[in-house]
Formats: sequence, C-alpha cells, structure tokens
Amino acid sequence: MSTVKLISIAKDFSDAPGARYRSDGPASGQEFFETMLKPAYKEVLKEGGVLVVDLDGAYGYATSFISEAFGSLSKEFGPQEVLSRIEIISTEDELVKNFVIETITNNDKKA
Amino acid sequence: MNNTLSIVTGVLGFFLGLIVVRVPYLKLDSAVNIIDLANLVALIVFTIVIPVILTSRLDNKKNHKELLILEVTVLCESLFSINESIVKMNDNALTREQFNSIVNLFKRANSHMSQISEEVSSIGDEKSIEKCKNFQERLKTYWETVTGDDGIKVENFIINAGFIWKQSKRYDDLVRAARSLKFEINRIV
Repeated sequence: MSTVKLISIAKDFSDAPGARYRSDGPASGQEFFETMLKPAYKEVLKEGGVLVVDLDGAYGYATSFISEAFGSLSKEFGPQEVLSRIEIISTEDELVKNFVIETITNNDKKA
Repeated sequence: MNNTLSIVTGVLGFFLGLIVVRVPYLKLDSAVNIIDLANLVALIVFTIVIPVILTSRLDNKKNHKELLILEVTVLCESLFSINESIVKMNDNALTREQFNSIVNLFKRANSHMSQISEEVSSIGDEKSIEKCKNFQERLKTYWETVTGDDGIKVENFIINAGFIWKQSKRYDDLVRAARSLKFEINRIV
C-alpha cells in the first residue's frame, strides 16, 4: 500500500511564509525546502507514496517563496518525477496552485 | 423560464376554455370560429407572452453583465490598495505585518480573479475570454514583480523609487487590461 504524506504549510511550517532565502527573513522558501519539503519528498520517494502539499490557511505567498521551494525540488528530482509524486491542494486560491505546478513544470528556480 | 411559459399557457388555456363554455357567441361550431380562436391565441402570445420572455431574458443578461463588470471593478480597487500602500511606503523599510498584508491582498485578488475567469468562461464570448486571460496574465506579472526576487522581503527591504516605478508600470498595465475586459463584457449583446 502506498504512503500518502500530508504537509500543510500553514499548520506545519508557518501561516506567514516569507520570501526566497533565509537571509530575506523568517519562514523562507529555502528554509521550507530544506527542513520540510525535501525530507518529506525523499520519504515518499523511498516508500513509493504520494506527497500532498496543502497551501490553504496562510496569509498568502510571495512568488519568490514558491519559486525557491518548489523550483529547488523540481531541479533536484526532475519535473516529471516530482509531478507524479506530488499533489498540490488549494481551495482558497486556485492561481497559487497553478503557479506551483507551473514552477515545477518549468523548473523555474533562479540561480 | 420554461416553467413560467407553461404556467402562462396553462392559465390562458383555462380561461379560453371558460370563455368558450360560458359565452354563447363564442361557440366553436364552425371552422371560421376555430381560426378566429387561433388568431386570438396568436395575438395574446405575440403581444404578451413573447415580450415578457424576451424582456426577462435581456434583463437577466444585462444584470449578469453589470455584476461581472462590478466584480472586475472591486478587484481593481483591491489591486489599487496594493499599489497605493507601496507608494506610501517610499523610502521606508517594510515590516513583517506590511509584507503579510501585501501577500494577503494578492491572495484575495487571485481568488477573485479565478471567480471572474469562471464567470466570463460561462458567458462563452471568445473576445471576453481572451481579454480575461490577458487580465489574469497581467495580474500574475504584477504579483511576480511585487513579490518576486526583486520584490518585497520580510526583512531588510527598503521600498525605493526604482521599485515603486517598476511596480507602478506593471500596475498600470493591469489596470489597462481590466478596462479592456470591462469594455469587452459591456459589448456583449
């Protein structure tokens, strides 16, 4: 049976996500990627499961946060692989969900 | 609409039946009277039922258009408050609360944009759909300009004239796209 792991950014990380890098302030995309997203993704990859990321409940998102967190994931593991193992949920903001998927697809992380 | 038509037709039929039964000079005993009766029904349909249906349909469409234009206007007001708050912060360091407030305004704007997009698609007018897509794309560009790599940070970010000019330019593009969408919605017959 495949594992389904859920991360709620607002509940498990911060309800006020910040910008791209740690140097930009607290709750950055870099911090989220390194401490939550990457370890959770590696876990589901190992167990052959699916990672569900819930975007609801936060104040809102800076595009730099999304670009760093999901762009880094896509860059490290490959867009197709990530898209097949990750599910993005957002009932509050459909456009942010589309932006995350677009970021993964386009491997949008800026150097 | 079909229900209204059925009720009107039913009531009309009932009264015509009563007239035929009660009034002696409307006895249906010849072909000429049936034709007269058909003319009477046609007259009532053309003078009352069809205008009522048409007016009702046009009113619904007009209301839908007006509501949609109003929704775009409300969204523009929300975007105006983002632009205005950034302009007012000229030469000041952004606080955590201000950062949260701006990203929250974008979240609400995005959510509103999705609803508008759905409603425009439901109308099915190709030009309006195209203008709506353009408006949505401009909103995304504005969001990326304000909160992207050259945009706001939680700490150590001073809002300078360069940033204000850059974001204002994107905001103006967005407002132009909104105006164009409203014009296109208003044009729908």
